[in-house]
Amino acid sequence: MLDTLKHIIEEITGRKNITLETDFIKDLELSSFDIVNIISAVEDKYDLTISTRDIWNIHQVKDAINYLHDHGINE
Amino acid sequence: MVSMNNTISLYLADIESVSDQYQLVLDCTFDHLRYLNLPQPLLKIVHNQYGKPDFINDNIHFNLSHSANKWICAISQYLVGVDIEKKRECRKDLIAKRFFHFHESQFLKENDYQAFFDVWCAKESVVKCQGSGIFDDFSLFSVIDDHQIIDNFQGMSLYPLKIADLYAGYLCSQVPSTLRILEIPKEDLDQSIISVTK
Repeated sequence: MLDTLKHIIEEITGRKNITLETDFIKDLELSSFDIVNIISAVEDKYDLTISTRDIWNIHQVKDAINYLHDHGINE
Repeated sequence: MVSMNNTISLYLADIESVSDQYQLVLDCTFDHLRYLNLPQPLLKIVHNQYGKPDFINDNIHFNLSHSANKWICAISQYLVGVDIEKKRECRKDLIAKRFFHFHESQFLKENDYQAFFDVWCAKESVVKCQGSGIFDDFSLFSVIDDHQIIDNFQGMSLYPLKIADLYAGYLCSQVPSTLRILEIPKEDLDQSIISVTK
């Protein structure tokens, strides 16, 4: 799953060297639109809807993976 | 009627990182206050419950946005929100359907998503001016009016910003305002001293 997220993040932001601890705001300095763009791609990939309020609780890549695991998504 | 005190100063800069942006915000604010011949109070930046930064002072406000290497800071005596986005490839249909109001989504679909980033920036500037953010109610309001144009929203004034090729931008203000747009030269950024001119 990490590889899939790394691919999505790189495709959208052009940023590489993504790890589990990478923080979307602090490390990548992404805008709200960048994050929404990534979330839309993740939702499309895994066919789920992430509640808009939950989006802003996902700070690091590992938070996204934990969220997906908690919602029954496993790779 | 727009008074001098309804002037919004917009500071544009090319920056690589936003990690030190608050010192720049303070410099911009002092420039704005000097321009209006207003006293310079002790300024303190705090974050509200939604994480939006602003001055603790009631009579001076700021808002920030960045996209790619462009940075913008809006300073006003009134609540203000600003958003800029570099236009780029993305799943506009998915994002519009998921995050936009039905009217906005339909409008964009009928116009081949040409105004996608304009609608996004207008919406985000509205919620930033309100002090909130992108939550469930983001898709419950429309900035597209009955004439199919982006117009003032619920008493707040919306202004399109043309900051550079390939960029969209919108400013939302609590009151009708005069915009004063300034570019910060790179040499001033290096010294963190604002000496901008129109």
